[in-house]
Amino acid sequence: MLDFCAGDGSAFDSLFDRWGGPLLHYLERMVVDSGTAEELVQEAFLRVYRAKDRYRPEAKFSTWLYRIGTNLALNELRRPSRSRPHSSMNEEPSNGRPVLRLVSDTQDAGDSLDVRRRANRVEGALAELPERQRMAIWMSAVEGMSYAEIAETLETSEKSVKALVHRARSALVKNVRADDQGSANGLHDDVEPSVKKDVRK
Amino acid sequence: MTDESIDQELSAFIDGELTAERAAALNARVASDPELKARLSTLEAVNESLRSLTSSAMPADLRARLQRRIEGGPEAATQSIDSETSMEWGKPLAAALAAGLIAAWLLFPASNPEGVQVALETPAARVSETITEATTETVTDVAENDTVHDAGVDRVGVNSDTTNNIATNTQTNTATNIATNIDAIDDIEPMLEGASDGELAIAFELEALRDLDVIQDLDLLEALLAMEDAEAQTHNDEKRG
Repeated sequence: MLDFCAGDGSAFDSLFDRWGGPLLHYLERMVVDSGTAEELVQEAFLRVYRAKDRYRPEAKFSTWLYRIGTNLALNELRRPSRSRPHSSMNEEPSNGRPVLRLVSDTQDAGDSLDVRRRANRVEGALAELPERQRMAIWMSAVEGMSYAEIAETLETSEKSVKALVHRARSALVKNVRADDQGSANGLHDDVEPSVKKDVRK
Repeated sequence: MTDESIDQELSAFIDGELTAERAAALNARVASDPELKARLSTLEAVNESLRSLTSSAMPADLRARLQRRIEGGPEAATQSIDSETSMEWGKPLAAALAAGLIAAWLLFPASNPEGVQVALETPAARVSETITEATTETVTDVAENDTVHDAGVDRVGVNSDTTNNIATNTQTNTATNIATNIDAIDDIEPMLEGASDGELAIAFELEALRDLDVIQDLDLLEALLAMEDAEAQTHNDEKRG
């Protein structure tokens, strides 16, 4: 970023090459729509671009970028016209753009069925988490960010981040266990979640 | 230690957030407790599952689209994400809120906003999870900034403007200006009852304005925005006059 601020235009390309993919990955999980996530990535980098004359390196570039992305995502999630995120990732969004692929569609064939099933369950449960929990667990577990960095990104305390991550992880575990129990009772993964719930009742 | 706190400890352990000493102690417990070991394994498996989630590949044309937006200038650049409603009004809103609250404070020094007390007593993170969605939107909008540099610093900038507003409102505000705002402030008064001067003063400091969780009532927001409109109108009239 400092190189870019100093006038090296190619440094901006490097930033985009390095962080565009992870940010897109993160935002897709937050807004659960690929097309919107792409828009947000553009917007985030556009803001980076415009900030070159004012940028002060007070935080890691990635933390700063994720904060911009997070705020954009939160704004997007609160738009009145926005529908709730899809709880099932294989639903078609309203705009016709593809949503995220199911894990089982993209994993290597060699992966065990159990691992894929679990990932599918976790994926569905992740989309159901409150947004701040979803953001915190993703940044921690997937991006490998420290609680301090997440706290800076979410503009909260490390203690809050610890609680958010813990609550998110507990919810995911609970969901996986519930589904395990459902499977043990003779229900299969291709059964719609709503049907499973009805049967459990 | 409760199950809850042990799980929280395990979670922090997985994330590498425990001190070496606590991590070693937990390791020792896990080694001797099969149940704890199973819980740790489950948590780790969930982490692995998260990492295994795939997403769409980066579209080849995304960089080119970004470039077009960069070259299109600031107006074209912000059109696609409804920024006119969700991003650009953060600063004016903050200024309006600040000006309104301060004016109210000046007029009703012995009053008490329930929300202010909440903001003073409640950690921002907890408040932000309990406030209404509409209010949360406001908080987020204000957190978002054009000046991408650093949201926290930018908001300090906003609050610096607020300081200027304080000076304007306290030192050079005319009776006319206050009179312009009086109707709106009348509406706000019930919400300000009971707060001490000190509480309100603290609320006006950066922390309270930082999260804007003080404003839990949309009517109050609207009243404050109306006040700013009236103030702007007065300013324009004075210019013309």
